[in-house]
Amino acid sequence: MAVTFVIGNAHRVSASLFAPGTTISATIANEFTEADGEIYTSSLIALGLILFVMTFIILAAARYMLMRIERRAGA
Amino acid sequence: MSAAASSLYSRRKARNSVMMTLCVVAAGIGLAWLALILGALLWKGFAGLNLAVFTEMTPPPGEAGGLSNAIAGSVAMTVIAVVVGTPVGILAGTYMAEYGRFSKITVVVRFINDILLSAPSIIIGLFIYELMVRPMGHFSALAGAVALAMLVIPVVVRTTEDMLNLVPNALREAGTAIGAPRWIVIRSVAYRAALSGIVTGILLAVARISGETAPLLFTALNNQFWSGNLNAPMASLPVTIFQFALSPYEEWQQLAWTGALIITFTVLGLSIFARSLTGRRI
Repeated sequence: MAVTFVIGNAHRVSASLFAPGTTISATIANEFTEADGEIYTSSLIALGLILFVMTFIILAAARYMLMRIERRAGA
Repeated sequence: MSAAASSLYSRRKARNSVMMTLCVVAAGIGLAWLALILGALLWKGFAGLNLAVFTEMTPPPGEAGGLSNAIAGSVAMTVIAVVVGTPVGILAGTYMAEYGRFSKITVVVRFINDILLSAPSIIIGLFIYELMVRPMGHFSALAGAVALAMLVIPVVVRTTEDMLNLVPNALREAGTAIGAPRWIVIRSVAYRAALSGIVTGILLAVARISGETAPLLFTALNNQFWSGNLNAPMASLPVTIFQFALSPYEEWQQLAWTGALIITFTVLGLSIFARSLTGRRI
């Protein structure tokens, strides 16, 4: 979420890497305390879920690769 | 040496020196960024460093002030987080290394712990918000401390388990051979042998949480004033820096730099201390 300072926090998908954008963490950090209404808060928490699922998949993949290497070294 | 072999040899030598140069350049680039960041921090941070930073409260926009309430809040929440998180972490790590070293549950716990270790800290903040802030109806320093404790636990579990696994089994067998029950062997032999490593883990956890903004944003929130009340919002250095650095007021931006300087050097000092602990053999 440190990118909040520099990413521009723009709600759009831009093809240019030089245009402002936003990340999940930056969006949550910026808007959560200002969110009014159930649906706004829920959406931000759903964003958090998506981020968590992403981390989970990446870490599980890394774990799986490590396990395979270990098994190969052991065999 | 034949001509073919010597040309192979010199080709390998040449490739080796090219790769070595690339490695050195890569290391240099990495270190250069660190030097640049530290340089900018020292340059901008020292400009605002004075006694008032430690004695005065965070000012309203456009006035001079300090960071005393933020520093105190950070210290308070870090201490509570470590007090709450360390026992859980050490006990879990002890189970994994001493009792369940070969059990299925240890593998599962280790996997979940790894995920918790690298979970984005903002998700921890959201989780504690739903768990504590919403039922209580208001932000509180206690919720902030619990969120930080959630970050302490995985670090401590990991280091405790790793350090206990490094203790040679012969030591435990020697303890058992003279008739010591298992819990005494763990307490007086394994813990003593792994002590410096476990303490290092705790210090690393402190270093990690003292710079975390994300878990505090929706739990402890922030506070412009001194507050000793754990049941109310409390200021902390990272959140204050986050807020002040994004503000348009020059005094606030200056305080953000100074706060960043204070945190960086506290963490740097802790890391060096932790390193010196592991470097020294017991």
